[in-house]
Amino acid sequence: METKVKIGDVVLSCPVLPASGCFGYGIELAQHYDLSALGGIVSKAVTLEERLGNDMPRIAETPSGMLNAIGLENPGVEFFLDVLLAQIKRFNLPIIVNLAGNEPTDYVELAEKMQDPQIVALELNLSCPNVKSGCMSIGTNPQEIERVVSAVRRATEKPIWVKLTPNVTDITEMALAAEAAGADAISLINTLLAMVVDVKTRRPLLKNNTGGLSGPAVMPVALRMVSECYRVIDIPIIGMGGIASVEDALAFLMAGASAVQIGSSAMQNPGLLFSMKDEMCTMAHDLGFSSLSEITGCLEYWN
Amino acid sequence: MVNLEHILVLEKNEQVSSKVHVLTFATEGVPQSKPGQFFELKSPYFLRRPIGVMQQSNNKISFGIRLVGKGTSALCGLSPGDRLSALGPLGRGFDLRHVSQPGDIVIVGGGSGIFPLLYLADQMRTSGLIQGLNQIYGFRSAEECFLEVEMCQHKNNMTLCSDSGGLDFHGHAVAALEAFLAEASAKPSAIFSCGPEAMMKSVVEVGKRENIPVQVSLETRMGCGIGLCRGCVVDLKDDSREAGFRRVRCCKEGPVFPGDKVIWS
Ligand SMILES: Cc1cc2nc3c(=O)[nH]c(=O)nc-3n(C[C@H](O)[C@H](O)[C@H](O)COP(=O)(O)OP(=O)(O)OC[C@H]3O[C@@H](n4cnc5c(N)ncnc54)[C@H](O)[C@@H]3O)c2cc1C
Ligand SMILES: Cc1cc2nc3c(=O)[nH]c(=O)nc-3n(C[C@H](O)[C@H](O)[C@H](O)COP(=O)(O)O)c2cc1C
Ligand code: FES
Repeated sequence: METKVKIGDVVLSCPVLPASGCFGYGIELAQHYDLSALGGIVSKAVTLEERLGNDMPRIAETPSGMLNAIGLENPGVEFFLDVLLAQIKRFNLPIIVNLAGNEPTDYVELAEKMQDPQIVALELNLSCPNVKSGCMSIGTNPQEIERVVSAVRRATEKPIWVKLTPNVTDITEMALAAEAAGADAISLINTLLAMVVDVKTRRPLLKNNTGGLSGPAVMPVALRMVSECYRVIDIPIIGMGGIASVEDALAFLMAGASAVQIGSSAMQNPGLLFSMKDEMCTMAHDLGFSSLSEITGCLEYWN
Repeated sequence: MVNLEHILVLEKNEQVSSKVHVLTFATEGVPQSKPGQFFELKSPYFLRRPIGVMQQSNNKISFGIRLVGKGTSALCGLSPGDRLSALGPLGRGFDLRHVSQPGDIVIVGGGSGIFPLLYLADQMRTSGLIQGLNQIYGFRSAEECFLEVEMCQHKNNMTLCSDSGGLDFHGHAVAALEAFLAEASAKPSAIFSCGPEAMMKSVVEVGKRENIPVQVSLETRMGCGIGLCRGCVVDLKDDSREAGFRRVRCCKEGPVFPGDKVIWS
């Protein structure tokens, strides 16, 4: 079974990636699993300055999923480049760096710093729902998306993946804006803005009041959005949101994704990430495919 | 590479009080855990549940589980023969490097914090690290006391406290600690504590006043338990940083921290 996939000019050995923020920088799981079963590494969001994120608690369980309100805690771009990148490079995998900013200019400045040849793509986080500025406030407005993506496009030769938020009325508008501004791919979906209430204390469970919903609960929404975008854009899609099994991953490919990312369910069951490639091959073979890439977009819609 | 995920097979499920079960599993190939380390146990719900090790030896591992909500209820409902996925051992346990000097050790626990401390006491005893080991465990009432003779083979030097009387000491575990220190002939070389936050906070205050180092084991809500999500952070005083503190992961850098460094929520 041919497992290679192409995301624009980027070739990945297989279409399985960890989702940003759910895999650290790969360092923890490398002690227990062979990371070469992955198509690449996707970093936690990197910002210009160090961020401490939101107050605790930042995690809540929901039916079939979870809320997080981490708030982009990370040590900042300088530490990322000086210390973390060298550690990630040792895994000898393509590296995708997730970038987040307060201002449009932050994304440009960050992109300019990402020169290392092992960094194969920049994933612009225009979709985190847990911060006050930047991110989702950009990703819910097609003009803003176009402004940020075209500015980054002028600043870097690296492929740009634009990570979109599902918290919009029409996801295709956002995808088209990213494509028009020169994005090489779109990643979707980030988490859905949500809330959990503790009736005993009469307070939201998260200190941030709201958080982002992820896990199996969001998968049908994510699949619908991937399918809608696939039908209107020509650039590849990295699909994610709730993947917990090989069937889920194949469903994303069929709906139009060229690769998938796995987040919340991989945090509960890390083995899932590392067995996924082989399981995909077995199942794809049983379904009559001879390569994983040919599954992309093969979904047959009812008239 | 060391396996992270293990399939445990339940051997015994003992209800030791109305709210507490002790689950004992057969383990094969599970690395020996240090006292204070924990496992992320699979639940029927989305997130795993972090549970400290209460005992591990001879291919068996035990967890003491207090019924809190739906996840712990499901765990306590397991039957012998049931298989359970567990990630671990996780985190850093109690730091025993400094307790080799002669002197007594005091362990102060309350609620579900008692379970990991039983393992600590057991390991200290068998390691021969220390001269005197004193355990103080607090319960809301005598009925809630789940420590049966069997669970504490060395009942001497163990003070069971109850807020409403009926056990060795009438009052709070911290009051028992104060009473113990007032009478002790020599100053203990360390205090280890796990339990409700208010209790640990008071124990740290006592330690500061008496100049005894305290280690505390904290509980935070966890998204993964394995260091990936930063959902579980704790702030530690750190003068070398501009902000005066640094933010660390309870699941990875903890759950045991030097008590005087913890910035309580
Ligand atoms: C490092 C560590 C070690 C622990 N060791 C033990 C132990 O040995 N024995 C024991 O009985 N309990 C222990 N706990 C507490 C135990 O994890 C919680 O009581 C349990 O997760 C509650 O789950 P639930 O579904 O019954 O409750 P719910 O309230 O229904 O749980 C809802 C969510 O909140 C989380 N949650 C609720 N209370 C806590 C808590 N106190 N700490 C962390 N997460 C919580 C749950 O994991 C779940 O995600 C430990 C916690 C930590 C962090
Ligand atoms: C704890 C946590 C942290 C996350 N951090 C980021 C992040 O830093 N940047 C980002 O683009 N997405 C972040 N996400 C979103 C995920 O990458 C992913 O888009 C989302 O969780 C849906 O996938 P899943 O259901 O497989 O988790 C985070 C999600 C979680 C649960
Ligand atoms: S719980 Fe995920 S990093 Fe600690």
